[in-house]
Amino acid sequence: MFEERRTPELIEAFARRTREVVSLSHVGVSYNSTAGVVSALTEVSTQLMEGEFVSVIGPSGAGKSTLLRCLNLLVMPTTGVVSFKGIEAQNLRESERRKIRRQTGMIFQRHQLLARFTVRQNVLMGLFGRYGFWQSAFGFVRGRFSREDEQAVDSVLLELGIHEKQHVRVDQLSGGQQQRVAIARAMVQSPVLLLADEPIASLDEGRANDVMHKLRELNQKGLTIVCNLHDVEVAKKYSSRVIALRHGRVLFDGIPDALTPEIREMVFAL
Amino acid sequence: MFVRVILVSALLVGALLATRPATIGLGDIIDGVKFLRHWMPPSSQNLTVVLLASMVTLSTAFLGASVGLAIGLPLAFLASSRLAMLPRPVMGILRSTFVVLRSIPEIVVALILLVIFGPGPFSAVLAISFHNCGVLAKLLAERIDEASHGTFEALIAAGAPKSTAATFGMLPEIWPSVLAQYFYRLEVGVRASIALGLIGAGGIGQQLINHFKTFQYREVSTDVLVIMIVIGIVDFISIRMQRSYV
Ligand SMILES: Nc1ncnc2c1ncn2[C@@H]1O[C@H](COP(=O)(O)OP(=O)(O)OP(=O)(O)O)[C@@H](O)[C@H]1O
Ligand SMILES: [Mg+2]
Repeated sequence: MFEERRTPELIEAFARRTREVVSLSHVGVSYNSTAGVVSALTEVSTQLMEGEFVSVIGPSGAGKSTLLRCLNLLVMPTTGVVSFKGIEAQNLRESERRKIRRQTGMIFQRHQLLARFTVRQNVLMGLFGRYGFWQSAFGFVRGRFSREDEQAVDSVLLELGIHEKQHVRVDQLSGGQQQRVAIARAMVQSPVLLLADEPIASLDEGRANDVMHKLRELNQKGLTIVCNLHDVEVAKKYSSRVIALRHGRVLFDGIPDALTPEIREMVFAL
Repeated sequence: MFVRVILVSALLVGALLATRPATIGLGDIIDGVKFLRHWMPPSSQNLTVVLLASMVTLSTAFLGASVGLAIGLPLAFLASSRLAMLPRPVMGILRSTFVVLRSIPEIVVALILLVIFGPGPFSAVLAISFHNCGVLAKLLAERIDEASHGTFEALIAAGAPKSTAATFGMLPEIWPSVLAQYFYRLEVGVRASIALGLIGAGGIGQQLINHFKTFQYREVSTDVLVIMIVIGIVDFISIRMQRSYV
């Protein structure tokens, strides 16, 4: 009887579903601001598959950050459905959403680290999603977490090449090194998805390349990445798929080579 | 513009009239100087007692600022509209509580508490703590709303609970303000506890009023000198502590 239900369609659907990380279906997001209702995303539908490196491009205010924040449920859509690994997000309780966020790492334009704390301390904070308040507080004050946690921190520090800097205060590092610490903080979560909101916007070219190479390396090891970029060339160079937004709508969603100069013109036209 | 200048000038004149001295003349000023002569030189007879009393005053201010901070700081996080840790109506109620705590003069609170606890510094500690709690909660909630929320959001994005994200992502951002406000409240608390000493809440304020009422003016000047030194010490520690946090 069990066998009978495994129709080819179901098997295919199941395979598709397991490879799918997040999907957005007809998602709209609007913010209530003093200037009235601002709609940041309109009718966005897309599906993120395991192992993809998706770049999101678009002019300022196009909704790139909002899209990223939908993917880890920091922003809940006003309309439409977000599903994380097949679980529809809008009916989840906050604690369940937290569990999903725990599995998604996020990095930002400015690293958003604690400047007065050491590299290691900052990376440890990536694990705060796993514990309650008191556990985190005591662990942090005592300067240690469980053995596995310490090992996890060591291994990401090594992976990102900042292990020898672990006891250095973050404000004594260069911009590129700080971004590596931020990536380490996200990676220590062992995420299934890494979101990067303009991770190279405040770095010079050399350091930007360094960070993008690191992201590519992580992607090649199987990590799914969504990365907001304002530089189309960088997006084309590193990603397996590009999504272009304008005024909160998807103008393009496909492989980098299909992004013609005409489409590019349309996306960034003044 | 012109109308405003006139209006403000009128207000100033009105305020000056309302607070004008009862008498004033050359004779009065000479009397005042003669009176000050009785204060010199400061007496060293009761120095131990005065120093002990100043310790009571310092302790009152220290406890008042510390208790105020211990309660006010968590309340500031709860009342911050950007962190949104509580439902809006609850937050509104909390914020109005701060206003009430701040608006009742410490001296009124202390007068009531003196009836309950009897004379001595304990009532002053409580009165100053209440007040500081309201002041610090309001000021620090504003600092939290103005501060950069980047690290807080990064921790939320990593799945941390709001309490953890606030403590690790926000508290370090506002820590310099916390220190500055704490030491400012300590300094204000020294003066407040002296004033409360005048109504029987112990410490050097009480010494001062007792000496004054019994015409021991040389003792009074010792009291004043010690008060100045105490405030100087608080100021020194405050600057040192704030500098050490970079
Ligand atoms: N919290 C908010 N409240 C109100 N409006 C918001 C909020 N966040 C974003 N918006 C608005 O939503 C729109 C999309 O913003 P978003 O930050 O997603 O764009 P973006 O593509 O990331 O832009 P940028 O390149 O400048 O970072 C903008 O018009 C913005 O003003
Ligand atoms: Mg953005």
